[in-house]
Parts: sequence; structure tokens; C-alpha cells
Amino acid sequence: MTGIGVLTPIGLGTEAFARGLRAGASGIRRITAFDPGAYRTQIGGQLDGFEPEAMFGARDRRHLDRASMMALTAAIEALEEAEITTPAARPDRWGAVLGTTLGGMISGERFHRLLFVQGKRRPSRLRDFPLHAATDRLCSTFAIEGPSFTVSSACASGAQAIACAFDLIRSDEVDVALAGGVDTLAQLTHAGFDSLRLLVPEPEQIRPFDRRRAGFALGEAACVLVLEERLHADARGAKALAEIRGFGTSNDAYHMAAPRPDGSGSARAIQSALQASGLPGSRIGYINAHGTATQQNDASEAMAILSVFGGPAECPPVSSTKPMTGHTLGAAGAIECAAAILAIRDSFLPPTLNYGEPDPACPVDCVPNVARDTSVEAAMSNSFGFGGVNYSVVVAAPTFDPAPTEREATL
Amino acid sequence: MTDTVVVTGVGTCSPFGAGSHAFSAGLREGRSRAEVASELVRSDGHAATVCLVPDDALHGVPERARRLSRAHRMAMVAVADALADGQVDLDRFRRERVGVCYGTPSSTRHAEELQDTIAERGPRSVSPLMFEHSTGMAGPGTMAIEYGIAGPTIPLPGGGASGLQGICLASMLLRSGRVDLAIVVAAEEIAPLYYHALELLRVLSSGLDEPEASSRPFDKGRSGIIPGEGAAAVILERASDARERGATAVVELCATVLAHGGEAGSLHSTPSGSYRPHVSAPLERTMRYALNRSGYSPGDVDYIAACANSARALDAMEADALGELAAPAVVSSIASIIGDMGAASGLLNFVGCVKSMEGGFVPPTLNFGGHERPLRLDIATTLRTASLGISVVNAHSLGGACASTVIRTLTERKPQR
Repeated sequence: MTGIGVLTPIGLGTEAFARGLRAGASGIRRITAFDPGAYRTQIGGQLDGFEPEAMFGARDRRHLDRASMMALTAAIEALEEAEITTPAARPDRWGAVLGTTLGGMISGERFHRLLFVQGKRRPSRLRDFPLHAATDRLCSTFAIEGPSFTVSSACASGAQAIACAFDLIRSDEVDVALAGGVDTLAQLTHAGFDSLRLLVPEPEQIRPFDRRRAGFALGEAACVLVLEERLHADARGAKALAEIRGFGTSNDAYHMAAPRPDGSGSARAIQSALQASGLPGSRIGYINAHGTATQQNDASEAMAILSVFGGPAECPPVSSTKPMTGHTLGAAGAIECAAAILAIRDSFLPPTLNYGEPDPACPVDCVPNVARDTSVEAAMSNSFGFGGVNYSVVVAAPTFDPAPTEREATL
Repeated sequence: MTDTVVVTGVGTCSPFGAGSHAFSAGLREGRSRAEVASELVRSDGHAATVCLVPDDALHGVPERARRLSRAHRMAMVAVADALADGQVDLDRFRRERVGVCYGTPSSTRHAEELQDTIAERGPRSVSPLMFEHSTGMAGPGTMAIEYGIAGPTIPLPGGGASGLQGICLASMLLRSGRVDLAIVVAAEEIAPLYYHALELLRVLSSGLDEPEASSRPFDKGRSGIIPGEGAAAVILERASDARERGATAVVELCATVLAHGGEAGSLHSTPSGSYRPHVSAPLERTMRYALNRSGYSPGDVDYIAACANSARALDAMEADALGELAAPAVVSSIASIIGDMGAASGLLNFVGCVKSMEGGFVPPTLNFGGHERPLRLDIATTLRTASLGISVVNAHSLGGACASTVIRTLTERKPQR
């Protein structure tokens, strides 16, 4: 992993995001992207200060959806950090995998509204509507000619994209892959989650792992990581930010919108991620939870984590950054993987905001309310989605030595 | 040496009805399925010409999936057909070792109704079920529940290339030992907004008088696509596992290569068909790489199942790519018979190719009378009987992603390196 680019409601750019995570900032406010007046919940996380006008010309903006512009902006930052400034020598050995649930929904909604309200047809609004549009824009902008595709596994999309890109590199299909996720704040999903009564009306009510938890707020975000085969990175003298050790995936095969209450489905993903990483649970210093702050998710996730790690005493700190960023759907898995990497890089644990009343069903150390300074050598990021899909990704410091610690050796 | 990946079952739900036998017979017969659908009206007032799946093809859909969008129900039919074809008893597999790669439809009626509901009746009228059924996991999630599939479930909203993207990912899952059985499926339905979007993007055929003559891949008189609906499914396993359970492997997957047109790849900018010749590079590259990886040369190829779909730009691009590859193979496009199947097109093309190899025939490319430029290609305009040892399947989607797969019948001898 040689580059990160992020746009989140708590910070545009990697450094601002890292500062926000450490400060426990909240990016959740009243929604201005559309009129939220008719909904039970009127808050969400938006990219304050993101100005596509400054980055893209008027002509491009007619075709590019907000999601495409967000993904491109994140990719530019990631490539800069990876110090890749010239087009690839072997563009066919570059790939791109993005996860998204909405694609160009903002353009789609605008097209639909224009058609309905004013009877106007604006086909240019449809160019970026397909879910694969942002990935295509990455390829055409950065001249990527290798395997490129889009995944859409609801809230696990971003993690799934990183996992697929990891497999592309492992299978020697590519040397470098841009991987991540993007989603905007669209009326459609807000209305949908509002109808499921999963959204809360006030930012302070997003309370992962708290007994009073009742749901989340949505957010928009983009994250693009530069994943690179280690030898390829070494050969060009690139500095690695982190290493992706492996991932695990599973499907609950249980219910469209609810996890298995005992967490056995997600436990399998967590277990196989650990196995793939080649690390014992004791080497994981931090878990960035899916932590949506719904009654069902957090209890089932806590149970899954504890069942794999052994018990509250053996379990590393588990926090959810969703109270800060909102639930950014297809981007969530990617920005949370980035948060885990930043925790390793900057030696701190991002806090779980708004935590007050412990829940016996979630007996985890959730780093309540304030960030904690501590060194982390390896971390895990969990992402679970509609349709029962579970992903768990393990990342480690670039200097990480997988040899067993003394403690393990004596056990 | 790594184990090879074989196809042990195929299934379809196509305009010829449920089942790959009907599909195969339909391709052999070679009669266009394009028809005028009176319930779908173009903006110029004409009824739309499309290729539809007959409703009775959906009778076998399991109870759980009845309320899903049409595309997902067609996918269910195709998967049931493929599992039966491959004599797969899922109870004999560990469910967490079974994976699904799902080429998701470009649009569904559920997703469009959700939009309509918000626009017409206000946001508070959205129902939870409607929302659940509109997400990318609606199809794969229901399938996982129905069959108890607990391994990777990967929804691929990649348009025409999504089916071969699924084949590529599934073989990666099998080769890396992550799963023991992979189900690749892709589906498309003709939802009203999707149809109108195609119309507005000016990719539809203007041929209105004669539906059966309006899809004309490679032909100089082609004016655009005829949208179709359908689904295809493919069962993939490692050759050794298939042998062990006594399954009949139909074909071997030699190599699948995905690529993107990069800077020049998007055909979006050229809906009316002005295409720049150098755009052929990615599709030629995927074919060449896939053949290289399989150990074959272009001269070894017997049949190329083209992705040409009667669009001005795509067909010109593929014709050039095939010309540059210079394989002495027979070329045909089933889009002339069943239309452009959108997200299902790549995988239906794949299944069509497998059935051709199995049955020893090349389906005709209807309505082809000559390309706008001289072609040195052998395009089959009538049904041919042929023994097909090695074939190439192509796929492409509007945003610039493309893919080629090389498959060989299991009676063909291995290449000598």
C-alpha cells in the first residue's frame, strides 16, 4: 500500500482525515444536498469544502457525476502520495477496482427530476449513471488498461474492492491497482434507510456499542488506495505505508437486511482474515468495527469478534468511526481500512463517539469518546453488508515482522 | 502446476425460454427473437423493438424470489438450470466453500419504482422491502439464502463485460483455493427507464419496420442495438474436484483476460458511431493475451464468439481487433438473434459458445451482408456444422471495460509449449 487518498465529512485529504480521527471530530450536520424536511432524520455527513469547480472544468462537470469527481480527486491524492507522476510504463499491468452502491445516482436523480418536473431530457446526465462509471473514469483519466471492474455489495463494497484488487495482485494479473470505494449522499438511500428506521435524528445519538444505540446517519465519502506488488514498489524505490496481510469473506445466507444474531457469519470472515494474515489474534492491536450503531449489528459483531479472539481480556480495542463520518455505504469499507492504516502509521486508536452506557451484549473496549495514543503494528477492518455479505481485512505496518513474539513462542 | 478450471454446468433463461437446451436449439435454428413490445413506447411514439423472455420461463422461480425484480428471477432460473446441468448436489459441498459472482442488471423495475415513488409521492412513501430489493445485493443475497451459499458473494455491475469479469474472478477464487465451487451468473431485464436511457444515449437501432432485421452485427447498414433480456449461469470447478465427484466437464477455461480501453476506451463519447481506429487495441490485446496465456496462437482458434451487438462503434472496433488478430477462425455474433442482453450479454455469449462447441455448430450472424470497410473475416451468415476445439469469447461494456476468454473442448489435445 503506497498511497492513500480520502475525502470524508471529517476531513478532505489523508492528513485532515487523520487529524479528524484523532480529534474525534463529527462531520454530521443538517443535510444541504437535498431538502431533508420530509424525513424523520434530517442529518448526514457531507464533504464540506469539496469544490469540484476548482478541480474540473465546466465541460467535464456536465458529464461527470459527483461520485466520479470524488473518486478522481481521491485517486489524484493517492497517486501523489505514492509518488507516481508519469503514466505507467505498462498500463496493461495496472488495474482499478472500486466499490459503490449508488454510482452516479446524483446525476440519475437530477435527470429523473428534470424529466418529471420540467419534462426535460438531459442525456448527458446519464453518462455517469451506471455503477461502473467512476471506475471507467479512473481508467480513462490515468490511462489504466489492465483488469478494471466495479463491485456493489452494499455496505461491504469498499472492502470487497480492496480484497478483489489484492487477489488481482496475488494472482499476478497486475502490478499496481487503484482500489477503494465511493458513495454520495443521495435521496434514494436516505429515504430507504429512513424507511427501515435505521437513521437517528441527532448526531449525538449515533452510539455504537452503547446500550441506547438506535442507528446511524448516512455520509458521503471517497477513498482510493494504491496497492502495489511489493517487489514492484521496492524496484521503483517507493515508500510503503502499510501492508495488506490478507482478508476473509463469508455470506450469512440468512436474511437480506439483518445479520445472524449469533454473529457466526461475520465470525467466519474474521477468522479467515486472521488465518490469511498468518497472525495470531494477539498480534492485532486494533479493530475498526463495521459498528453501524444498530441494535442488531453491534451485538452480533461484538459476539463475532469475541468468539474469534477468545474473550474480552484477549480482544483488542474495537472502535467504530461511523459517528464521525456517517455510514458512507460503498466507501465505508475503504475509508475504514484507511483509518486502520492511519492508526498504525500515527500510533493512535480512533475513538467511538457518543459512548455512555455500556451494553452487556457488547463487552468490548470501544475506545470511548477520546482517541488513545498507543502503538499498533497490525489492525483489522470489518465491513458487513445487506444480503449477508461480510468482509474483514488485516493490515500491518510496512516494517511488520510476522515472526511470533516471545509470548507466543512460549505458549 | 496449478489445477485447471473447468465448466461443469451451464444454464440460461433466454428469449427462447427456460433452459440451455432451448437456448442451444434456438441459436441453431437462428431465427431472430426481436419483436415489437406494445407496452413499451419510444419517445417518437413507436412501440419498442426488443427481445423478451416469455413469462412462462419464470414459472420455476423459488417462492423466496417471487417478489424480486424480473432480472433476479431470471437469474434464479438460469442458476437452477446450471446446477441441474452440472448435476451439482450442493449438500455435498461445504457451503462456505461455494462462491457466487453475479453480473448485476443495469437497472431493475424495483430500483426505478423507488425513484418514481420519491418523485411522485414523496420520500416518506418508500417501503423497506422496496429498498432492500433495489440494492446490488438483492439478487446475490437472495441466492445465498435460497441455496445456503456462505462463501464469497461478489456483485459485479459491469454492464456487458460483467459476465466475463465474473468468470475471471471465479477462476481466481478456485485457483487460489478459496472456494471449491463457483457459480457465475448475470442477468438483465428491460426496465422502462433503462430502455429510455438507451434511447436518449442514441444507441438503439432505428430499424422499426422489420424487427427481425434490426439487429445487424458487423453489417454496414446497422444503426444500433436491439435490447434484450435474459440471464445465464455457469458452474466452475477445479478439474480434479470435478473428476473426483464424477462430473462431466464440458470445456476447460484456458484463460480469461480483463482489460480497459484506458484513455481511448470509452465509447460513450461516440454514440453516433464516429469511432477512432486505435480504439481497437484493448479488445485485440485481451484476445492476444488470453491466447498467449493458454499457450495457443491465433492460428489455433476455431471459433470467435464476437461481442458485436449492432452498435456503430463497437462493431467497427471489434471488426478491426479481429482483423489485427488475423485468426483464420469462424466469427459469429448471437446478438443478431437475441439482441444485446446488456449485463447478461457477456455470459450468454459464453454459454452460447459452450453449447456450440458441445453441439458442433456455429450459430448464424443474421442480417450480415458486408461491413463498411473490407474485412478479411469469415463471418458465418448461416448455420454451420463444425468441430470446434478452441474458441474465444469476447465481451465489452459501454464504459470501456472489455474481456476475452479462451475455452477448449476436453477432447482437444493440450497445446505443446
